[in-house]
Amino acid sequence: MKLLFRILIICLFLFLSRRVSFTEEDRSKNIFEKNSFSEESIYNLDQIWTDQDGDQVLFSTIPGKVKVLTMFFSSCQYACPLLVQDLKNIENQLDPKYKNQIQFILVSFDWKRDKPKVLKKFKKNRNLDHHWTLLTGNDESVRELAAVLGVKYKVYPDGNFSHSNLITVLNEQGEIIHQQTGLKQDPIETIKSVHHYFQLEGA
Amino acid sequence: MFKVISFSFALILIHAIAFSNPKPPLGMVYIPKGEFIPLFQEEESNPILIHSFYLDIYPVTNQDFLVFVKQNPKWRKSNIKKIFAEHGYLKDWPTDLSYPEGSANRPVTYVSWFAAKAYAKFVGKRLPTRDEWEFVSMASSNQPNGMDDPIFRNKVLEWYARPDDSHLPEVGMNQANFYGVHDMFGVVWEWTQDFNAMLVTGESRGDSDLERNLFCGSGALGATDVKNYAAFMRQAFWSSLQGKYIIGHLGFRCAKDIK
Repeated sequence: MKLLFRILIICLFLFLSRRVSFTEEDRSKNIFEKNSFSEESIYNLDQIWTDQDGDQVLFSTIPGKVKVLTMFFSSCQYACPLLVQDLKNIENQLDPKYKNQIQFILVSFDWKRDKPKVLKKFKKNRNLDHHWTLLTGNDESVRELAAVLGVKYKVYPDGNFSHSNLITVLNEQGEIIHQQTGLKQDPIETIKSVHHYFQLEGA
Repeated sequence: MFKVISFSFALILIHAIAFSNPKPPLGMVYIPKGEFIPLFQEEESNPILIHSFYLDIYPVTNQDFLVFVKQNPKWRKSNIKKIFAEHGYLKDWPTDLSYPEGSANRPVTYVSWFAAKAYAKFVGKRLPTRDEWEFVSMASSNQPNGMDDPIFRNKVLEWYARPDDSHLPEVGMNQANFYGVHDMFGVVWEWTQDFNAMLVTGESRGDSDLERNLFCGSGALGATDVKNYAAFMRQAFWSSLQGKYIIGHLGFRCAKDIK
């Protein structure tokens, strides 16, 4: 019994000393990881999100040459249904040949209540197909994303939100190439910017 | 048996005393929980509850920030990405790793919200919320709520109405407030965790939900109506900001949750 105990102590000691030397090595190398994202890319945020299927994703790993995104919350009664409709209008008016290269992304403000199951139900109820991804995060990731996009929002003690309404178009590098402000907007400029991008890219 | 009981009791008593008055981390003070009506809201509004927390005694200084960038190269002047800070980040610093001579104890400015947040995380803290910040800022030197003191109240409103980025003083030059916190006024405006919770009063096309209670219904804004003007300045300032902006009279300090 005593021998076993001694062996366990030695193993623990070895394990801990390995961890210590790892961090010292780190410090001596002064590792400065410069990722390959461009200066203006929102992929620099490197926050981990969870989608409606419960899978963890990074913005940069979501497929789609162009991403059209907005922030919402599922229990929003007034603005958000209109915002989703605005996105659908964009989807319907885009040239079909680009359809499979575009992903529509809805990011929830309400990470506390909009769990993956809730998002999945929302997606189903509004007939959003595989071109749509719904994401939930945490307080920090939501606040940071909003800051980068220029979305303003306020959390109330009762769990509700007031927020600005903004649709953002990202290019393949995750850079903002266009934004559409407000609700029930004519998407013509947004459509133009997406088409223009694909034409330049020679897609 | 008696010894065991009395010893246990003593132990419990000591713990009870220790935890009833939490010892703040170095450089911070304990802010006890409270309620307040924000300065720029209607009197009839419900008071806002603030849970107890720790707050930095002083704004973060150039010296503090240097420690951070030394250990975090990606936040240095020459490395920082445009998405995190616009051109002019740390513009008064001559190099990546030096601040202007004599400014060690001046608040660091020309830093973006992203940089402030990263600093806070690095030192194991966070940015205060707007409510937390304003709650503490309402304290005069001898009252948790100095707003009933007309002299203090006017001092606060004057500061909002006239932010000033000419030659920054060192931190701690003025008297501490009731909580032992320095420089909530008279030095720099400060980033908060939820700076983008300020909503713009939108146009009729509904680009945002309105902070309707912001602009008091009463008359025209005039030089004599300091409160309205200060409210306007505060709203205009915060709602115009983006997280990557850098401004000469905008710095920050950190807060920390109580475990």
